[in-house]
Amino acid sequence: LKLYRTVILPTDDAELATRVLHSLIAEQGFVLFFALGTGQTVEAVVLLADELAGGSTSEPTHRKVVWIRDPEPVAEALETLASKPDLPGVLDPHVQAFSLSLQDLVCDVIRKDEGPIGRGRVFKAFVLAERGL
Amino acid sequence: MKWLPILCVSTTVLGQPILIVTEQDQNARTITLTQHDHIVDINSTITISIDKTVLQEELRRQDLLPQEQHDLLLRLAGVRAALNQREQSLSSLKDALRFYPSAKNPQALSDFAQRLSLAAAPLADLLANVPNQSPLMADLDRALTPPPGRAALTIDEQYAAAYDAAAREATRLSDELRAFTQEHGVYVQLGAFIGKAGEQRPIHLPGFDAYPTGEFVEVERWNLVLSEAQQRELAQYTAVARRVNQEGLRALIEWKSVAQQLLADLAKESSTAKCSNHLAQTVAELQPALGGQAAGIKNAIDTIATRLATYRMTLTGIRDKYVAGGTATRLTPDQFLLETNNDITSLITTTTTFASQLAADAKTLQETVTTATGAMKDRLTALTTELTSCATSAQTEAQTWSTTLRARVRELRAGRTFEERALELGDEVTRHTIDALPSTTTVDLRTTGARAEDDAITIKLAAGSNATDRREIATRTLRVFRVLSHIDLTVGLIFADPQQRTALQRQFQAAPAYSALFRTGSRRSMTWNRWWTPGFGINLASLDFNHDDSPELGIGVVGSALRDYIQAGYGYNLTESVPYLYFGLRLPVPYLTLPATEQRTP
Repeated sequence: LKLYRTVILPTDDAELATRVLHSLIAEQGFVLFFALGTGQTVEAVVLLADELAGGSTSEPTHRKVVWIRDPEPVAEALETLASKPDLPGVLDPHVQAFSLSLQDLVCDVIRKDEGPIGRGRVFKAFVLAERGL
Repeated sequence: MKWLPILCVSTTVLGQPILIVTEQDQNARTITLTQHDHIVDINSTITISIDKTVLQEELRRQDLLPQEQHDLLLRLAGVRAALNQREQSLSSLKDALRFYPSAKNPQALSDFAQRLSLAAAPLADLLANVPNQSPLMADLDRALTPPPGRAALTIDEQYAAAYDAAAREATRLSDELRAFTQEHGVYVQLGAFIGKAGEQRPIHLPGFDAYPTGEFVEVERWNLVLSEAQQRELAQYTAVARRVNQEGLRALIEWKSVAQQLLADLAKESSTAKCSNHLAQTVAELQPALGGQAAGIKNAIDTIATRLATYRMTLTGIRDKYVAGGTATRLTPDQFLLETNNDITSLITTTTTFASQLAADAKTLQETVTTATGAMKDRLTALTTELTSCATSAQTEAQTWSTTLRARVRELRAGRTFEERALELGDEVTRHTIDALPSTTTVDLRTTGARAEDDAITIKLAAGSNATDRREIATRTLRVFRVLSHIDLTVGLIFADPQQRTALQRQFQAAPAYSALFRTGSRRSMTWNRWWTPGFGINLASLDFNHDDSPELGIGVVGSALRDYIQAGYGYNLTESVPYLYFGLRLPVPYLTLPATEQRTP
C-alpha cells in the first residue's frame, strides 16, 4: 500500500492524533479528503484519493488525504467541524469518507451505501471542497 | 389548426416572464421592457429573448412537457452551462495552482481559495447532484484513470478530463432527448405580427420562421416635405376655407352626409333588403291564388307576409332617418355618432332575428307544401328555396355588418381596436424542439414594411405535442409610436383674427395652413401618444385679408394638442404686414374617418 499524499492518523495516541489533525485542518492550506475506518473498501478509496491528490508525482498540490482508521480518538475534533446543509454528520456510522474545504467546511460526504467508489466519486468530493463556500 | 383555450400573458403563474423584450432605439439607447412597458419607437430594433428555464417550467405546469423530457432538459442545461465555462474554469485553475506554492500566509491563502473556488464552480455545480451510479460518473472514472506509464494525472489534467466527460455527457443527453422527442414530440413556435385590426401581417423573426423580410421603411423623423395625401388635403382645406368664408361654419358639417349615405344605402341596397323586397313581391302575387289550398299553407304564407312587412318597415325607417332631410341630419355630430351606432346595432339584431325566422318559416312551409295541389305546389317549393336563400344571405350579411360597420363606428368613437385572438401562427413558423429552440431573435422594425403609429406588435409563443394540441403559452403586445423627438407636418384649417386691423367683415378668416411641429412621444403613456400629442413649431397659412383672391403668406408660431385637432398661435401676414391671432382645427372632412390625415408610412 504505497501512499504519497496521505497522512495516517495514529490509533493508539489520541493526543497525537488530535494534534496532527488540528495541524492539517487549521494550520496548513489543504483541501482534505478524509477516509474513515479500515478494510479493503476504505483502502481502495484511500489509494484513489492519494492518486488524485498527486500520488507519486513531484508536483506540490493543495490536496491531501487523511486516513482515520479509528475515528474514536479524534471524535471530539471531528464533531466540531461545520458542514454544508443537508449533509449527515461525519461521525455518522454510514459515512465512509468526506471532504473539507480550505475554509474548514465539510462539503461532501461519501456514504457506505453509494456502491462502489471510483475515481469519479472521489474527484467529485475534492471538487466540491475546492468550490468551498 | 385548433388552439386550446389560451393564456394570454407573457408571464407564468409565478410571475416570471417567458418573453423578454429589449429595445434599441435610433439614439442607440437600449431599454429592457418591463411587463408594464408596452410602447416602442416605430423605428427601433427589438430583441425578443426566451427564458427557457421559465418556459420549461410553464410547459411542465401545463402538462405539455413529460417529466422525463423535463429532467433530460434540466440535465442537459446543467451540462451545457458547465461546458460554456470550461475555458474560463481551466484558466482560473492554472492561475490558482501557479499561485499555490507561495500561498503560505493567511492573505495569500485566502486569495488562492478564492481563485480555486471560481475554477471549481462549474464542475461543482454540475457534479453536485449527479448520483454515483450514473453514466457520467462511470465515464469520469475512466477519464481520470492515468494512462500507462503515468502514476497520476495532474489536477489541471483531471479538470480537463472531467470537462471532456461532460462533453460526452452532453452528446449522450442530446441523443436521448432527440429520441424521446421523436416519440413524444413537444415543439415550440414563436411568431410575431404587426398592424391594425384586420390588417395584421406576420413579421419575420430570424431563426423562427420562413417569412420573407419585409420592405425596409424608415419613418422619417425630420420630414419637412408635405406628402401627396397632405397636398391633396391642403387643396381640400382651401376649398373648405372658401366655403366657410362665404357660408359660415355650417359648411363644415357636410362630413355627416357620408355617414347618412352609408346607412341609407344599407337599408336600400343591401342583399337582405333586396331579397326581402323580392320575397314580399312573390308572396303578394301568391296570396290571391291560394283559394283552394289548405289552411296550413294559407297561414304559413300570411305569417311570412307579416314578417316581411315588419322587416321592410324597419329598413324604411332607417332609410328615411338618414336620407337628406331625415331626422338624423338635425343631430349634433356627437349625437349623430351615437345614433349611428345604435341604429347599426339595432339593424344587426333585427336582421339576425329575421334570418332565423325566415329559416323557420321555410321549414314550416316545406312541411305543409306536400298538401298543395296543382301548379301551386311548384310555386310554393320555389318560395321555400327563396326563403332559405334569403335567410342565409341575411345571416351572413348581419355578421358582416357586425364586424365591419360596428368596428368602423367604434373607430370613430373610441379609436382602433385590435383583436389579437384572431392572430394565428402560420405554417411558415418553424416548430422547434425545446433543446434546439433559439434563445433570442432580433428584428429591426424598419424591415417590417409600412406601419403607422399605434400599430400593434403581437408576439406569440405557442407549444404543442401534436398538430391538434397547440397552446398559446405567452403573448406580448407592444404598440409602436414615434417616441423619439421628431417633426410632424400637419395640414389644417386656421381661423385668423387680425383684430380689426383689416377691412374684414367677419372677426375670423378661415385659411388653409400647415404646421411643422416638434414633438416627443412617451414610452409610458398611450394616452399621451394617442390623444395629447402636444407639439410646438411654426405655421404657414395662405391668407387673404384684402379679399383680392391672391394668397398672402402668413407665418406664425404654433402650439398644438389633441392630435392636432386644436392649434393656436400668433402669426404675421407678410404681404399685408398685419399681425394676427389664430386658432386652428384639423377637421374630419370630407371623409368619415378619424383622423383626417393619419401619419402612415408609404
